[in-house]
Amino acid sequence: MSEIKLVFTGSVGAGKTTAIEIISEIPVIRTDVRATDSETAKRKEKTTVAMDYGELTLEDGQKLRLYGTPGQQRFDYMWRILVKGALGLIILVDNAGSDPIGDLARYVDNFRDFVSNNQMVVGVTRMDIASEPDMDFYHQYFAERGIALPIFPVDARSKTSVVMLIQSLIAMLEFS
Amino acid sequence: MHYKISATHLSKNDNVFFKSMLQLIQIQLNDTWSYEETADIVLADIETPLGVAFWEESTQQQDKLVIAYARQNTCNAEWFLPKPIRVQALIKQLNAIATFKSTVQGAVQTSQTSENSPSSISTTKANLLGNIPNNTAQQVKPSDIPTNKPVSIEYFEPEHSLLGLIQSTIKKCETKCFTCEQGETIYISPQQKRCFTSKINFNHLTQKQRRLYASVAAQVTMTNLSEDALHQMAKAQGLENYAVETLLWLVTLCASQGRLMAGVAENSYVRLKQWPNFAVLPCQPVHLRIAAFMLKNATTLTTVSEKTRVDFSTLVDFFNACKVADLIVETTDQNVSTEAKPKSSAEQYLFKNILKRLSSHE
Amino acid sequence: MLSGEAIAKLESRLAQLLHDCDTIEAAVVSTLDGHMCTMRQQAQQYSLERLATMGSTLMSLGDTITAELNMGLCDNIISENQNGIVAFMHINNDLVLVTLTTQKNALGMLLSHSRRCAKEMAELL
Repeated sequence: MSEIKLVFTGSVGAGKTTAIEIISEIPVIRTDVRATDSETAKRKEKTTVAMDYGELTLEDGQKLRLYGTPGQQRFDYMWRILVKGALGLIILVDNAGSDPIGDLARYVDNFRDFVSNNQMVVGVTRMDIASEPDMDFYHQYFAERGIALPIFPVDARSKTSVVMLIQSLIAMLEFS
Repeated sequence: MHYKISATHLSKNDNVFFKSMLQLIQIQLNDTWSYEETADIVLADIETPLGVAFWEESTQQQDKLVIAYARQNTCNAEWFLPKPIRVQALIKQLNAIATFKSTVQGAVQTSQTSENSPSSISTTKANLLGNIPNNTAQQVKPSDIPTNKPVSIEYFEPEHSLLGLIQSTIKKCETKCFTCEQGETIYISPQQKRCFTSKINFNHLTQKQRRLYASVAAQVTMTNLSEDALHQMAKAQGLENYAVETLLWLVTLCASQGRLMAGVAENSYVRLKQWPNFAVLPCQPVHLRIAAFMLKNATTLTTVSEKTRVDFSTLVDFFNACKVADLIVETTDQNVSTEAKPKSSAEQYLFKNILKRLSSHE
Repeated sequence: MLSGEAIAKLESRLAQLLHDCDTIEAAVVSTLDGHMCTMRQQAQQYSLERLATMGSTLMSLGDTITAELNMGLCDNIISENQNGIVAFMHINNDLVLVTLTTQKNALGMLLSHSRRCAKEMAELL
């Protein structure tokens, strides 16, 4: 049995910290610092450099641990550390980013080994800010590569949306 | 006299209950009544589309005396038994029928004119639309509605349901209003790809909503209206707007009633083309289970039902909704992943626990 | 990001650090969000780019831990390893200094030189 831990990863500003905050029952432990590079700073003031951590207590007292990774590639060592023993992975892609499909490709590729034994789902965020690429692009990307994973638009600020991501992940885990 | 009565489209429980009660009340009936598989007097559950269709057809053809069985007499049926079945109501109804049959049958039969039949498009139904400006609203002619071909019990035929009417409206890019007796009213704007209606609680549809969504085409009143009139209406009534996909999805889930869509072979191998966009397509946890399995496996619906432990009827409703949303791929080969093995009980317990915890968030 | 002038000042102070204490084999200044500002090493034996990013991660974790425990600000993090020691410390709210030595008994020297360097760098900026 894997550790009861879910990991949120994905591009800078996609809403990983927000998603964890919206469902965690404890104040999220954050390691965010002031962003110094203009690319990140124009999207948000602070950025995660180690991890975010939230929790949900299950009925029997067990904890479901929610981890968020830093978004930037330069922190990829943290991705590997955090994903160890995780039950599943949730990738958030910022549709308003400069290259959302490229971001998706990077994350799917990075976690390829993890997914071969576990499951992941993809949420596309900020479609209200940028409607292109639309979901058909993402589906086409998956179809061309034979990837069968849940991918759908989400609002990281919405509890319902984040719950749906986790529910989808659990459904996938049931048949993995 | 001895009368024979049958029942149709009743739930299993109601059917058993009705048969037992018929035996119990024999002593209180003026005549002898027996239950038969086929009879000229029929109790029909008109809360189901098939029951309504049966009731309409029989009323039109006047070949059977049909007792409408429902919570409310939405069809203004002459013979009506309220749900749930109560002893006194049943006795009263059967005795009345016996009296009618033996004395005034002929006279009453002629009074059952087709103009009161719900299957005809009554102009008075336009009143349900309220204050549609006369210059923009136009009553749809009965000829615009698909024919009253008997609704299939075995297959779900969109063209004979509200779904077909909406699909046709979208195809023709016409702005229209749809309603039915005692049902919800919805406005469709294909141009905006939105529909306007009162708030939908996806987890708990109202009776009015269910009634409309599950309607057979003949029960639906359609009215043309302009985009301007639609906007006025939506504003005046404070209507919510939803993606057309959301409505098509809901309508299919409500209307298919465990019947596989016509033209789909039950033993064909099917899989999901992609994950349904549950951001706009309302779903239950059971739908996520089916989607998770069908995304990875191409197989028959029977196998899907077995592997996911989801009852076939629910699966078929979901499958039909996916089919309408163009999410189904039919394949020539079966491809059930070997990974699809049962999880340990500890894992199942954990997943259930997590889902339970999440549901308290919703 | 820092101006060219500020980086030049840091480079100069870093050179002085390695000159004054030759047991320090490499030193890195990075932003708290993991960007390299400047680095210097006695011999070109380490790839220091990753160390800059990891320095930011560790300092941030250190800050989070001390905040969680109400222990005030995290002064430094020391990683004592089989083949050497790495020290991480704040220069100011935005910058981190990472220094390392392969001499296992040089912790005191590493810390005292590094702390003075960090303090002076903060004054330079």
